[in-house]
Formats: sequence, C-alpha cells, structure tokens
Amino acid sequence: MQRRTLAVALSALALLGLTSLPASAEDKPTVIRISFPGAGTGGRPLQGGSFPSNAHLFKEIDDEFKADGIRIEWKFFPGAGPALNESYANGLTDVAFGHGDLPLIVGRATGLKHKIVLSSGRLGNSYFVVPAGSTAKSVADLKGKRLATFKGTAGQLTLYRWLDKFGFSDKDFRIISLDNDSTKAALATNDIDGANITPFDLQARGIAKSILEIKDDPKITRPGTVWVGEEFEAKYPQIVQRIVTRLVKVAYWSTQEATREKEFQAWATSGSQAYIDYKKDWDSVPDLRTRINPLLDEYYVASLKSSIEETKKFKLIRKDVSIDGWIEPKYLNQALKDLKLEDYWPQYDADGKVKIAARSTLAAN
Amino acid sequence: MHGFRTTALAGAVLLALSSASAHAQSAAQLKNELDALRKQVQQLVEQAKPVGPTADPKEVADLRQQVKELKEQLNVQAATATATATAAAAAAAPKPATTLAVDADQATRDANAPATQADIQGVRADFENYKYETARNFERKVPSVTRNTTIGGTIQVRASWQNPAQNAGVDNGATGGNTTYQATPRHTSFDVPSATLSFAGNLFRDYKEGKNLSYLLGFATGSNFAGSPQSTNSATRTLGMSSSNGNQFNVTNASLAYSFFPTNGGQEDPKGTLTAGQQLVPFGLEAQANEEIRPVINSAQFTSALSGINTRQIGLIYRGDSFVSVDYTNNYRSTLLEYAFGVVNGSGPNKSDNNGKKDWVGRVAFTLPADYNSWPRELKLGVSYYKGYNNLANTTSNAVVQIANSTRTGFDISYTHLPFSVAYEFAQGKDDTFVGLASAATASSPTFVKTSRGQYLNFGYTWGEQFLASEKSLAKYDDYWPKSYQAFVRFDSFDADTLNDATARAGSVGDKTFITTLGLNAFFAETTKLQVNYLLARNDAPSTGVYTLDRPRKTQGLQVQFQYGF
Repeated sequence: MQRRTLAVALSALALLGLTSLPASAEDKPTVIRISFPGAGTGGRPLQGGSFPSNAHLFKEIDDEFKADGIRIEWKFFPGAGPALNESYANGLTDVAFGHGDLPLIVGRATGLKHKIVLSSGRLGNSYFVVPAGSTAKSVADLKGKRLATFKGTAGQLTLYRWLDKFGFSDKDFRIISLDNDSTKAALATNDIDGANITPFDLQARGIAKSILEIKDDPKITRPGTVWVGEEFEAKYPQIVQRIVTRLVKVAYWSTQEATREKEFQAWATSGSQAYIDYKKDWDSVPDLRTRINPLLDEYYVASLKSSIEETKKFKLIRKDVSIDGWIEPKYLNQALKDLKLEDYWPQYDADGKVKIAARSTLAAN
Repeated sequence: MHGFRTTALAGAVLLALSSASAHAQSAAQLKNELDALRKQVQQLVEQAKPVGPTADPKEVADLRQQVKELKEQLNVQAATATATATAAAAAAAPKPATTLAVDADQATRDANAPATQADIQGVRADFENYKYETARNFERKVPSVTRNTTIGGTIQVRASWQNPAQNAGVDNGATGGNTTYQATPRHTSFDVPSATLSFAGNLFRDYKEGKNLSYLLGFATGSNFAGSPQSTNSATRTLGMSSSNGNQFNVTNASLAYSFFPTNGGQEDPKGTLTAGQQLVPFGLEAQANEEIRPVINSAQFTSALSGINTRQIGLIYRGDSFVSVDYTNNYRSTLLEYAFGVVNGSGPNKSDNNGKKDWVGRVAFTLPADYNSWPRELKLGVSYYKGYNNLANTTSNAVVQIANSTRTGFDISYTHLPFSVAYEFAQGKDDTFVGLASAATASSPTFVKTSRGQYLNFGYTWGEQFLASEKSLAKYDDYWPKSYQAFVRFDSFDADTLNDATARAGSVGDKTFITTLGLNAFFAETTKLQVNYLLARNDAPSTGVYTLDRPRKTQGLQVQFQYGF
C-alpha cells in the first residue's frame, strides 16, 4: 500500500515537473494564429490586395506546417487594424499579415510588443472620390463638407496627408468614420461628399467618380507591415523563420507577370474590392515588384519614422514611439539569402526613389 | 439545303468576326483577317444571287438582308481595327494584356476574352430573375414595418432548489383566476421568471449628422410564481402578483429619444440624448444594467427594495458625456464625465403621477482617461441621487394622508479590465415613515426618517473572447460566436432600517439580510448564457429572537438558469 502511494506521488511529481518545464526555443506550437486587418464583404473570412493574402488564398502557410501537425488559425477582422490590436493585446494573435501604419504605431505607443519581420507591400494609387452627381472638382471645393475614412486605420493618415498636401487639415472638414463597404454605400446615397477609395467599380455602376488621382506616391501611402508577437518570436524562432521564408517565396511568385490575373481574380473573391478595381489600379504597374516588395529597406524605415511624426502631429498618439529594437530583419535576410533573392527586389532610399535597381530579369531561380 | 448552306456561311462569318475581335493582335494581323472576311462575304453575295426560277424570293430577300448586316458589321470591325492600329502605333510600349503567352494560365486567358452579347444577355437575364424573385419574396414573405425596426427579446428558464424549504403560501387575492397558491412547503421549482420582447428603431434618421430620433418599446411577462427571496412574507414570495390568467404582461420601455449631438462623426464626439417616456432610471450600476450583462441571476437586494429606483419611471431624462478620449489602438473610447439628470412621476411604470410632486434624478460618473493597454482602463466612479415623494396612506381607509419625502443616494466604483472585474455599489434610502400605526394615521401623524442601506461587492474573473469586440465580429462563414466563462463571487447586504435597536424600534432588527453568491456563467452563443448560482442567505435575528419559517436564520439555494435572446 505504501509502495503504491509512493509510486503515485512520484508519478504526480514527474507529471508536475514535465508540465512546468519552461518551453524551449525548439518547441513548436500546436496552432499559429495569423490575423488580417480586414475581411471580405458580408463578413467573409477573405482578404486580397497583397502577397500575404495570397499566402492565405493559396494555402501556402497551411501547407508549410501541415506535416508538422501545426494548425493555422486565420483571423479576419472587419474592424481592421484597431481590432487586430485588440486581439493581440488580449493574447489572441501571434502574427499579423499586413498592418497599416497608424494602428501599428498607436499599438506600439500604448505598449504592444511585436517585432516587424517584413513589409507586406508598398506604394499604390490613391484616389479622391465624390458622388457621381457632385460638382466638386478639387479638395478645396469640398471644404466644410463630409469626408469619410475608417478612423484608426492607415486610411485615416492617408486622408490627412491628402488634406495636408492641398493646404487643409482635418478641422476644415467634417470627417466621419465609415468602413470600406459603408463608404461605398454612403457615396451611392450622397451621405458623404468625398472619400479616398478605389473608384473603378463605383464609376462603372454610376455611383461615384474620381476627381483626383495620385499614382504610387511614396509620401502619400506607406508600406504595410508583417509582424510577430515578441513572445512568439522569442519562443519559436524557427517557426518565425519558416513563416517569413514561405512569405518571401509567395512574394516572389506574386510578382510574376504570369500570375497577375490569377491574383486579381483571387483577391476579388473577398468582395471588398471588385476585380475591375484591382485590374485598373494595377494597370500602371508594369513590374509587380514595384508594389509587391517585402523589403525593410531605407524607404520602409524612413516611412515608419515619418508616419510616427505624422501620428503625433495629428494628435493620434500621446506618447513618443521609438523604433529601436522594433524592426527585426534577420528572418527576412535569411530568407532572401536561402532563396537567392537578395537582389530580386528594387531597394528604395529614404525619399522613395530607387537606390538599387531590381534584378533585370524575372526568370525563376 | 440552300438555307442550311447560307446559314452555315453566315455563321462562319459571324464566328470570324467575333474571333477577330477576341484575338486582335496587331494592325497586320487584323488586316489579314479583314481580307479573309471580305472574301467570305463576297462568296456569300455570289451565292445569294438568284440561280434560277426555282429560287424562293423570300429566301433571297433574307440572304440579302444578312449580307447587308454582315457588311455593316464588317465596316464597324474595320473601323475598330484602324483605331487599334493607330493606338498601337502611338503607344510607347505594347500593352501586356494583349500579348498572351502560349502557356498563359486560364485566369489570364479569361481576363483577355471579351464577353459576347450572349454572355451579357445571360447575366442580364439572371439579374432580372433575381430582381423578380427578391421583389416577390419581399412582397409575400417578408414582414414589413412602417419605420426602421429591430426586434429583440430575452427569455429566462430557471430551475431552483433551496433548503430549508420555501414556506407554504397562504390563500389571498392572488388565487383568483387560474392561479393556485403554494399549498405545501417546497424545495424546488421550475420557472420562466421573465420573457421580454423589444422593438427599437429610428423614427427619423439624420444621415448628415446622425441626430436621430429613435424609439424603444418593450414588454415583459413574468410568472406569478417567480417569487423573490427578498419578499417580506410567504404570500407575496410564492404567489407573486395578482392576475386573472396566471401571468403578467406589461409595457416596460416606451420611449422616444433624440440625439442632440452627432452620432455618426466618430468615437471622439460627445453624446447627448433626451429620452421621453417610460425608461430605466439612471441610478448606480445594477439598477440600469440590462439582463444580458448582469452576471448574477438575482439583482442586488437594494435594487428591488428601494422604491423609485426599483422600477422604470415615466418622465424626461437627459443622458450625455463630455471630455471624450479615444485610444486609436483599438478605437477604445472613454469619457472623463458621464452625466444624466431628469424628472419623472415617481409612481412607477404604466401609471400616472400619483401626487402633485415630481421626482428628480441625477447621476455623474467619472472614468479615468487611460489607454486601452494601461492598467487603470475602465476605472469608473459614480454618484447618484434620487429625490422623490411617496404617498403615505391610512391602511384602514386606504386614503393618502401625507406626501412624504423619499431620497436615494448612491455611490459606485467599478473596474473592468478583463479578465478581472470588481464592482462595489452603495445605496441608501431615507423615507418619512409614520411613528405610530399606519392603520390609524392622519394628516398630522408624526413621522420619522427611516434609513435603509444596501451594498454589494462583486469580484469576477472572465476568460474567453465574448466581451472583445474584435473577436465577436470576426469574419467567419459559419454561425460563429466566441465563448466566454465567468466566475464570480458577490457579497450583498440590505438593511431595511439601519437603526438596529429593538428597544427604540422593534422593526429595526430582524430586517437585515446578507447573501453570498458564488456563480459561474457560460456564454456559449450570441446573447445566450447558462448561469449557475449558489446562494447562502443569512438573516439577522428578529426582536423576539425567534426565527420563523418565512424568515429562517440561514437559507442555501442553487439556481440554474438559461437565458437566451434573439
């Protein structure tokens, strides 16, 4: 009887010891929770417009970890970047696949700890769109009127930059908060007087028209960001490396001209942007590497710094934000090296001008 | 045979035309294709000439018409080809979309294949069918309302056990109709304590600024046998209210609200709404908490014991906030100042004012401005005040003989930073009360101020995602709802007369109850929760020193309740 009691006690101690062992860097998680700051129309768990979205749409990350038995839990937040922040703040997200500059910065300003591992894309056209019957021809014509943006997202900063560019501030307009779908509906019903939104689908339907267009201006739009939680990164560095390497592979595939149409059609399945929006918005991009670019180059760093300054200037954060220790390029560098893609993408300087041109051929490695 | 040949040729030409439009590559290619087309049309013209007396004039006329149409199409095609050639020559570089690689994938081929008239007609027909079906369904199967309306409701289904048994009721007026009284003591009961139905919507929606005029209409039904452990005697505890058919069905909310501040600008805008009609009173936390968020099955004792704040009231109440701060991390909104004030009848729901004086209510709450990720987030402190007038009646004649003062003061502090939540609330009532027997009271009978006091302290721990807006709204294909679990303990006390001196006033002792509740709530679907509460109620000793069956020294209880909403 005593022997049995001792055995039970030892077993219990052993079990306790096993369960209380600290996780080593070699461990693998049972699930990786990957979040997108957006969702498809009608709450569909889909998103398009970037190479990280291709990683979901074409099941690249699922395939990467399938053999390991690691489940990928995809999360799509209709509440966009701010909702992603809330999820991470409550320990419910491990990796973000493309966070806009404003929610990324305010998250850091209020104490969210993550590591930036690569960029989810850059540049892109920006349009100023008004209802079809509007007589406005310029931003000045809309002074005092209602403009819509999804507050708390990168779109808010983009709108403020537009206004700044034309000598106005947000105080000169009545700015209301609407998500993408609501903005389209509000343009159709004349409930707003203007917004930054891709116009082609709206134009085809006779709902709205674009009065101004800024093409691929590095000062108007800012790069998106892929990050991993600090705790996840410290605990599973090998997993992080595999995610980054797979993403870079997807980024490479996504820049192939032959995949252009396949991407647009896949992206359009989310419904948040119509196929024609992708098609026409990207018509001006003969080399997809211009926008599909994962690099954390001088332009990325300078953009992040500029966005921090703008966020403070527009009083969207109260605290200062340091980028020290925030950007962790080692995973990206390793991936580029392993895939022999170090010179594949163009590198930009702080002003957004090409500093080192991309490899001249699109031939596969 | 002739007809077949003609049709085949016409088809070939049409095919060639559509082929040309689909695969126009360059000016040279187009020119070659046009030449080929011209030859085919010429052949068709030759064949269309009358070949003998047997030729059918109608068929010949048809052929001529076809040739004419083909020529017109050819001219259009030629014009398009010329324009394309000119544009191509002018362009600095050829457009990639028009140069298909041999091994181009299906997506690329699809992107470069134009839709035919038949395709467009197909889509058009589908669209018209959809419009027809939608219109008909809407007309025949979808209920409609005059104004924008959201319908909702909450139902509670409960099983309970207690020891010692709940004492038997006594026969009284409530046994009228189809009700029967509780004949013997009981330990258990199944109940449907509440079923509510609500309608809410906009009477006027201000699209420009969101200064909407909205309405709220709510009904609630309650079992005659809902009973309450706080009831003072077994009759009301077991029989509830009198009704003719065994339950009650009453209007709860009936109000109009107008927003004086814009509601569509963004979270940083302050709020201000005037509500007229029957509504909850802005006093403390628990009294105005709705069923969905209240963690404990039974409300705190003071919320049912203190008149004025224990029921809905009819009147005018303005609610607003100021000094708003928004943490854009997750668009978290906090207001330094929340306020509410108003004037009401004070006679409860569905009743006219029962005296010539109005009751007044006011509440101010302060929330520490804090970032979402900071520890002091959701630390709120509030004070409430209610000034009312109660009718004092001679209980023999039922005549109101005096209008008495009745005040309620409250203080609350709460901290909700998931997974932790703490709430403390204190409420005190002061009521003019007859010194002598109410059965012999007159307009000049002396009164004293009776002070009653209630307070509770609630500790909660919540795990799960239901209370996170981001997780609740996650995009999913299925009917997804994050689950949450909530464990809590609540200490709740109420003393109906704080004098607690039997020599001065016999009724001031034996009127205090202390209830400890341990609970677990499982939120497993949207607006649906399972609640399990264990209660231990302790009563203080009455002036006689002898506890009664109606009011034992200690009672244990277990309640299991499903609450679901729609």
